Amino acid sequence: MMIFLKHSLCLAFIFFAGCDNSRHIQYYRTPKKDFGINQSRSSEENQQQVISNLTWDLPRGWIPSKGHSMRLASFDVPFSTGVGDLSVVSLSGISGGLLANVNRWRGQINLDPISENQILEVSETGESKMGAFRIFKMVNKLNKEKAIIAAVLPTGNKTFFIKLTVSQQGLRELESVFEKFCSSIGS
Amino acid sequence: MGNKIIKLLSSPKLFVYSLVWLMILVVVGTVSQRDIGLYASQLKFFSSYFFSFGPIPLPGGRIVLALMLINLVSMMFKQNLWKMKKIGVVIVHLGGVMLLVGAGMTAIFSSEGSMVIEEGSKSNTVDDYNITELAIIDITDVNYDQYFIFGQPLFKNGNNLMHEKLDFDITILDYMDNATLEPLTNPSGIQFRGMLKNFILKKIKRDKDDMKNRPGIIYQVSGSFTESDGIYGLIFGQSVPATINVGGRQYVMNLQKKKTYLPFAIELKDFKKVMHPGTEVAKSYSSNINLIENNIPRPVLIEMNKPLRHEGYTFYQASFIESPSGEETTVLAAVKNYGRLFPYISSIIMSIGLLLHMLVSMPNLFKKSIK
Repeated sequence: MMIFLKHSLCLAFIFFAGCDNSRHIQYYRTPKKDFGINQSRSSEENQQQVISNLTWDLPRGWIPSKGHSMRLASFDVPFSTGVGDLSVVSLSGISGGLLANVNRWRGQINLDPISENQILEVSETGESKMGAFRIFKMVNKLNKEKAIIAAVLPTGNKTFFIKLTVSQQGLRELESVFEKFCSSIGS
Repeated sequence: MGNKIIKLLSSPKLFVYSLVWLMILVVVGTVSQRDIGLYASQLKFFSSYFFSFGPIPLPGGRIVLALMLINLVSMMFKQNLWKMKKIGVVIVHLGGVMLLVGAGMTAIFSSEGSMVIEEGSKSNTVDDYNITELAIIDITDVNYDQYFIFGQPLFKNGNNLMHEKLDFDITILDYMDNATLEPLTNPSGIQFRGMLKNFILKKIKRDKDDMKNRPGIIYQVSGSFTESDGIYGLIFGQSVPATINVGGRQYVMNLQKKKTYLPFAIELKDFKKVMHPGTEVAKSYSSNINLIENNIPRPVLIEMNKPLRHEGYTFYQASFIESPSGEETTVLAAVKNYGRLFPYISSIIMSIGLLLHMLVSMPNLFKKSIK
């Protein structure tokens, strides 16, 4: 009986202590997934631009355009059924505050203003070479021709505003390339 | 000496002390949730073998439950227990053993995670709520990706991670339960690679809500004898993937929630939500899905109180995401618990045991009351 007890003690120990450390290293194959790396490989074909000490990887097909004098850069951004307008603006500090800018953009497509508490709910974060940025997608269901996706990148003494105005269809198509463009911004 | 240990382990006193200690753990664990959060409290007091109270190590939930199991099993081998008049007691002990074995199975093998599916798309992976893993993904081949996964329990400082098919080794330098990125003010050292050339990965206080924590990891790649050797950093949810090239092969490195691949897929056909009238508060929501197994779709409706049970998994309607453009995404909570039925069965067994014990003891009770 004692031998049996000893064995059951050992089994209980193995049960509680042993199983937990298994299978921490795994190897498997899955069908091909898009990590955005293929595009960045071909992004070697992308033009790296330097404007006002800012650098970014310009996606293929984006055409520099003439914009307002406030803009650091402007681009015509083509998609399947039209062209969007992208602007890069740099302002000192946070310039009016994040909420005021977001509500100004929302106003441009007739969306109601949001409160400070809703900022986190309606935005996502990303990382660029200069720090974290926050992306806001603004879509008014009643206006299919105009939607806005904008990123706010604070860098201490300056804040960069990257804004793409495009149709809802264009926003869906360009959303990921816009995020990659913002991620590529550095100094 | 051996006999003394076995006598001690089978002592009823040990069970009573363990039970009292378990009650203390339940109280302390419940109270501490307020300060350190539910998940951290569960890890510290219940899922641990030992935890420290200042400099003193104290037994955690797993040790206490293991002792109780050993004690109950040992008591079963006492010869004076195996008598007809004690059959009820034996059955109650068996029920107790079953309950503890079920608890052990749940603690060790169960998993909880979420499955996030956009309308019109399908998924066959469950992301664990809490556990992270380091994924090194070889994306060189045109037709498939090769994943080398290193689990969170391996993230101990100085630990070497290697795989026979990888042309480099990884040494863990630091793992942070919650981290943030801060821009570098001075140029980084030449040993840093990837985002660590521009950022510092900094440990911050763990949030009580584990969902808000962003784990981070700093590790060294060595042994490739290329420019890729160096120190890298990753943070959970980073939008730009880290990559290295070694021996003509391209790898993506990612710190992600532990992924479980299912032998079937779920496709979200339609997500519906019903709001309370005049409010933005959801009254109920449901997911109309296709359960796809062996390429054969089967329509299923998952509602808030009507989960889908399949292949040992239970999928509950947990939440939803609505994009500004009106696209809907369902969030299903996926739970796999091998010990799910043990509490029910052991409760029935213990009830039968208590009933039998009462019936067997009844004549003696009557005799005493007549006297």
